[in-house]
Amino acid sequence: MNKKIGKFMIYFTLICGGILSTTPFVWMLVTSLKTMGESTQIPPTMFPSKVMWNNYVEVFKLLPFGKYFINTLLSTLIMVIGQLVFCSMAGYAFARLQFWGKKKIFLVFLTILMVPGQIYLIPQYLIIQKLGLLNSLTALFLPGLFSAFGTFLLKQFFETIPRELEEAAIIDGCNPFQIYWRVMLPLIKPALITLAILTALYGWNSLMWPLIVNTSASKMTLSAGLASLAGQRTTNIPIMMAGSLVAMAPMLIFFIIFQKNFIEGIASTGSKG
Amino acid sequence: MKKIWILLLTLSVLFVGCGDKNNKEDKIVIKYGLWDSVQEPVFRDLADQFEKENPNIEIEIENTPYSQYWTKLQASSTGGVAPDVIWMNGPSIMKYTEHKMLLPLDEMVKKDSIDLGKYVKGIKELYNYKGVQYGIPKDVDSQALWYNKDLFDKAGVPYPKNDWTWDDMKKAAIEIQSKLEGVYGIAIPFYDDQGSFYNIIPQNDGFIISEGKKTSGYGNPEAIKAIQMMRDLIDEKASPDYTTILENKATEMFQSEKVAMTYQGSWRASPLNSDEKINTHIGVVKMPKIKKSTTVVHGIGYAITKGTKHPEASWEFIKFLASKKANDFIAKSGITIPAYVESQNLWASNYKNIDVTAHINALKDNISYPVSLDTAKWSHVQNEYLAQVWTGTMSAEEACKKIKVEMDEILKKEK
Amino acid sequence: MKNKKTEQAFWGYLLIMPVFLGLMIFYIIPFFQNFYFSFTEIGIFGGSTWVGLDNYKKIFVDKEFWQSLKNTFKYVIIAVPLGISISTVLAVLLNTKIKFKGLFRTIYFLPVIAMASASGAVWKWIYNKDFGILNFCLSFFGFEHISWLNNPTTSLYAVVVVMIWMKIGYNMIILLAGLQSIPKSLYEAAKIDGASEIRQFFFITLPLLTPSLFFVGIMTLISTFQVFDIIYMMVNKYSIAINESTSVVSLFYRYAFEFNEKGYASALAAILFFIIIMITLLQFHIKKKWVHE
Repeated sequence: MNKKIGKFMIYFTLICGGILSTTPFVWMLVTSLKTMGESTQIPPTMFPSKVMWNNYVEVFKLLPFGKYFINTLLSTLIMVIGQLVFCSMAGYAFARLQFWGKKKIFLVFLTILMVPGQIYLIPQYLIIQKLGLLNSLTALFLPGLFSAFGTFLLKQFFETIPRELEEAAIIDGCNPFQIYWRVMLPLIKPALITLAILTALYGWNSLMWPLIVNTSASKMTLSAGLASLAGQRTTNIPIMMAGSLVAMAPMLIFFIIFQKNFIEGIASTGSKG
Repeated sequence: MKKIWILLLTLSVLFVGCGDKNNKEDKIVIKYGLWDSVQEPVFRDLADQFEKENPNIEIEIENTPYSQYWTKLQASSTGGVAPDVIWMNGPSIMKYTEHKMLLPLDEMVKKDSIDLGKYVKGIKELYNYKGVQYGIPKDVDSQALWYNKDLFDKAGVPYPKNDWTWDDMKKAAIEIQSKLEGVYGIAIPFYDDQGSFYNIIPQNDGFIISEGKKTSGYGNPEAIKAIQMMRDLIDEKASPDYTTILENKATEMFQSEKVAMTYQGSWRASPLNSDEKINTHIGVVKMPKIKKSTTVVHGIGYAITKGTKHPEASWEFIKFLASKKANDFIAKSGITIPAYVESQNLWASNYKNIDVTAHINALKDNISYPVSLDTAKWSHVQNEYLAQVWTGTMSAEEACKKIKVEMDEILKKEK
Repeated sequence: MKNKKTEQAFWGYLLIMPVFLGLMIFYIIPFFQNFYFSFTEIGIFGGSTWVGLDNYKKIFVDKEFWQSLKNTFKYVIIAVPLGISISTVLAVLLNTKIKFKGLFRTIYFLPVIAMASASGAVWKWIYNKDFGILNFCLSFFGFEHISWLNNPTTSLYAVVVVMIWMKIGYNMIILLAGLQSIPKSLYEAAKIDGASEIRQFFFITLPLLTPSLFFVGIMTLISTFQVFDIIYMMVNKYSIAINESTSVVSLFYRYAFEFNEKGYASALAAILFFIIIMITLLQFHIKKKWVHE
C-alpha cells in the first residue's frame, strides 16, 4: 500500500511541477490569439472567442521580425561554426601537441572563465566601435567566435581518446593537422554536438550584447528586438505575446528535434566540471 | 588537401558581415537616422522621390527605436559612423550644439533663400542656439483630450466641449467611473511629461524652467497645485491608480475602451484612426482649461551631423524634406503635423473618421517644450519624485520642493 | 628527432593561433582595459581623462549602489538554495521507477530554452495588477489585486520566482546525471542492512551527489549574481520599485549605455568581479568540508 501511495505522490508532484513549468507558455499562446480588448477582460477567458491569427501577421508588420530572424540565425550559425572550428583546433593542440608555454597559455585561458562577463563588455564595445562595426552583423558574432570554455571542453574530450588511434596515423606519416582533421575530430562528435548546442542556445537567447551593439531596427536580433518592443510607450499585449512565440519558436523546434543531444550534452558538462 | 579548402571556405563565412560596407561607385550615399516605425514608410516614399530628382544621391534610412536612438547616436558620432541627416529633438539639441556635433545651417539657409518664418515659431527657436540655426523644423506635436463617445452615451454624460474647464472634466470622469463597471473616467499618462504635467503646470499659470534656464519652477505654488490636482484625480476616483496606468499605458487603455477619456499627443492619432473597432466613436476637443488654456508643443528638427562627408548632398535632402511639396505629402499621410504652417490643415483632412482639428487649434496658444543643456539629468530627478506623488508615497508639496532644490543645483552646474 | 619537435611546435602554435588571437583581443586585453577605464572618465563623445580613484569614491557613497548590492545578495541568497533544492527534489523523483521520464525532462527544460525577452514579457503580463491571471486566481482566495512587479515590497520576490522558474530544468538535468552515476550496489547493500528510504537518501544519495551539487551551486551562484535580462524586461524604468529590484549589473548597464558614464560603469564591473572572485574562492575553500571526493 505504502508503495502505491508513494508512487502516486511522485507522479502528483511531478505533474504539478510540470503544469507550473508550462503554464506561462500556454498562456502566451492563448493570449497571442486574442484581441486587445479580450486580453484585458475580467474574468480572463481560457479560449479566445475570436481567434486572431492576424496577430501573427501584425507582428511582422509592426517590427522587422523577418530581419531579426535572419540576423539571429546568421550570427548564431557563424558563432557555432567558428567555435567548432577554432576551439577544436586549439583543444587538440593543447591536448596532444607539445610546444613551449603550452601550460601557461592554457592557464591564462582558464582565468577568462573565472571572470564575470561584464568586465569585457565596455572594452569589447569600444573595440567594435573603433572598427566601425557598430550596428552590423559582424558585431553580433565577432567576440563570440572565440571561447575559452569551448577550448576547455574539447580539450577534455580529446584527452579521453586512446593514443593508439593516433599512433596508427603517425606511422602512416600524417602531420599533426591531418591527425586532427582525419582522426581526432570525428572521434569527439558528441562533444562537438554539445558545444554546438550550448553555443547556439547562448547565441540565440543572448540579450545584453546584441542590445548594445546593434541598435538599428533592421540589424537587431530577436531577443533585442522583442525587448525594444516592450519598452515603447504603448504595448499591445497579444501582439507582444505573438512576437515572443515567434522569437522562441526556432530554438524550441531545434530543441524538440535534438532533445536527446541537448539533455545529454548539458548533463555531461556537469560531470566533466 | 580538399579538406583544407573546406576549412578555408568555412572561415570565409566570417567575412559575410564585412560585406555590409557599401561599394556603390559614383553614387553619394546619405544616411538618414530616425526613430519612428509609423513614419518610416512615408519617409521612404519621400526618399524615393528625392532619389528620382537627384539620381546621383542614394538615401539609406536607419530606424532606431527611440529608447536606443540617443545612445546610438552618441556612440556612432564617436565612432565616425553617424548618419548624415538626423532627427534632433528638444531635450538633446543643446547638448549636441554645445559639443559642436551639428553643422550650422545659416549660410545654406541664406544661400537658398529659405523663409524660416513659414514654420512654427516655437519649433524654429528650439533649434536656434546662440543665434545660430542648427535645425530645420520638421513637425509639431500638440496635445488634446480624446474621448470615447460610446462610453459617454452609456453613462448618460454629455460629451466634452472645447471650452471645458478642469472641474468639468473631473466631474464627468467621476460620474462615468462610478456608473460604468470596469471603466475609468480619465487616464492621463502620468509617466509622460509631454503628455501630462508639462501642459497642466502651465495651464495653472506655473512653469517648469525659467526663461533664462537658471531656475526651476517647481517651488512655485502654481506648480505644486497643478501636481496636487493631478493626484486628486486618482484620490477622487476620476482616474485609475498610477500602477494601473503605468502597467497598461494610457493609450492602450483608451484603445481597449477601459477608460472614457485620455490626454493624447497628435502623433498618436494615426494608429487610433486605423483601429476599426474604435475609430467610429471617438471625439477630440481641446484640453480643459485651468487658469489658462495652453499646451506644450515640441517638434523634431532635421539636422546635419558634423562628421558628414557630404554636407551639400545632406543639405539638398533637408531642403527637399522641408519644402511645401514634401510637407503637404507628410500632412496628407496623417503621421504628424508639419511645422510648415501652410501644410497643417491637410493633416486634419486626412482623418476621415475623427475630427482632429482640436490639435491644430491648440497650436494657437502654445509654449515650447522645456529644455536646457543637461535636460536628461533634471528630468530624471523630476520624474522620479513625481512618481512618488502618483503612487501616494509623497505629498505633492514635498516632492515639488525636492525637485526644485535638486533641479536648481543641476542648472547651476550647467553654466 | 628535432624535426618532430619543431613539427609539433609549428602545428601547435598554428592551431591555437585563431583562439589565441581572438581571446587576446576580445578577452584578455579587455580585462585589463576595464580596470584602466575604471580610473578614467570617458567623455560623451569620446576621449578619456584620468580621475584616479574618483569613480570608486563615488560608488562608495552612492546609495543606489549599496541598494543594488543588497538586492543582488538577496537574489542570490533566496534564489540559489531554493532553486537548487527544488531541482534536487525533482531530480530524485525523476530517478525513480516511473514512466514518461523523457516527457517530464522536456517539460521542465522548456523554460531554459525560452529567451529572457519572451519569458519576461509573458511573466510581466501574468503579474499585471489589473488583468494578470495571477491576481485573478488569487482573488478567489480573497486577495486584493497587488502590483507584483511595481510594488517595492514584492518586486524583488516576483523576479526571484521567474529566475528560479528559468533555471530549474537546467540544474535538474545535471543533478539527474549525478544521481545516475551513484552505483546501485550501494542502495542494495543499504536495503539489506534494513535502512529506510529516507536514511538511504541522507546517507548515500546526498553525500555522493555533493560533487554535482557543488558544480551546480557555483554555476547558479555566479549567474544569479549577474542577473540583468529578466529585470530589464519586467520592471518598468519609471516604476518606484526600480530601486528595490535593481541588480548591480542593471546599474552597470544603466551607467554604461544609458547615462553614458563608461568610466563609472567600468568601476562597477571591477567591483562585481572582486566580489564574485572572493565568493568563488570561498566556495572552493570550504569545498573540502562538505563535498565528497
